[in-house]
Amino acid sequence: MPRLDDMRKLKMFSWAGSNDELELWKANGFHPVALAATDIQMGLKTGLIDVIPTTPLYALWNQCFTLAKYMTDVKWAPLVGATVVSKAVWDKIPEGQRTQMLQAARESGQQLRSGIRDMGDKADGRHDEWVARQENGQADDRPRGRRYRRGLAQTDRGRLPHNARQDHSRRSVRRGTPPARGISRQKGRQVKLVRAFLVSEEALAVAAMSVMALLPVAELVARYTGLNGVPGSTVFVQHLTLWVAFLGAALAAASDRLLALSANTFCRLSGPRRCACSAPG
Amino acid sequence: MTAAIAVGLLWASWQFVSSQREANEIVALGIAKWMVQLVMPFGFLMIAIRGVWRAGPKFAHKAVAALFLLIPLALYFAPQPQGSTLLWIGIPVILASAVLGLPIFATLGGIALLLFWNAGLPVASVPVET
Repeated sequence: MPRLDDMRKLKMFSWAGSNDELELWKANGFHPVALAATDIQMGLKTGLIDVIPTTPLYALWNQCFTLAKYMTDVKWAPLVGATVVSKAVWDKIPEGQRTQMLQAARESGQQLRSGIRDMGDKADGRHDEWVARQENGQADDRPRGRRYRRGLAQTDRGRLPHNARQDHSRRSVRRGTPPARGISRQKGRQVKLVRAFLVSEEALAVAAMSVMALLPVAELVARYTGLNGVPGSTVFVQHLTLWVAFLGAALAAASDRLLALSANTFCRLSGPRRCACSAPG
Repeated sequence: MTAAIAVGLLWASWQFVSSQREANEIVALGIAKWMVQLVMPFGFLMIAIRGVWRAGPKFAHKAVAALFLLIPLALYFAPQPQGSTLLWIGIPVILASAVLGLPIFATLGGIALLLFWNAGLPVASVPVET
């Protein structure tokens, strides 16, 4: 993934309901997929999306960088925000205090902006550390991101309302292959196979969980309506618990989320930890 | 370490499923119990594979993690121990690994496997109990 043009081939998350942003991505040659924020994790896991435009801070907070391992520095985002006060309330405030409030709001905004950018940079550092551990430090392609920022900034200025023009530091976190130039067809096929296996494994776990929940309900309804109950439903539910537990454990192992003591509390040594866990993280 | 213990538990759960197969019990609707329980060795197999695969970005990391798989293999072929020396070595190693982040299931399962093996008891019940 050496160039940002390559990222245009990937499916990118876009906020559902934000049509302006969606059209803007499309106009610049990207392939946005409108989704709710709650669907980001599942979308990345299932391949529905490959890229998330987000801040490093948010990527650190919701841990989406564990699924989308590579980051491109794009200092652009259509971030619209405001504190809205009704005119009736505003008019009740004495003239002198209004000026002071506006001044205080500007100062707070500036403090917030620099504070958020600092936190973003720190989160960026954490992400880099994580990527370095995961991929042996092959994930830095920021200069290309900066080039992109200039290119996109030229096209968006005329489209968004003045108040919506923001230049917050925001990065596109993308999943997928390491930033080597292209991937071989065979490796691509392998990735697809692994992804298909993961999806079917998840689907199996979800199906087991659903049947486990539905069987007692069906049994209840059957008894209430005077029909014969579902044969062996209790035993099935017991065995489905086993399925959910083991499939869940296998899935947890795929993302280093097996239940363990909080190793960071006791020891930060990466070598011994890796030896114990057989997985970084 | 997780992968090594998962392989041990894979073997134990396979023993358990085999014993269930001999019993030929039916859950319901003609479905054999052992078929449903196959998810146990499958789950441990996936954990073991992923434990090795995610050991590190380099092939060397994965190779070292794969070397740990020789431990359960060695225990399988090793003669029945006469004393408790292995327990005095194995249990502290597992507990230390737990502090370093070894998953809980591997901590409990690993200790149980060691205790069962040291006492010469069948290990088939370990995956069910842990």
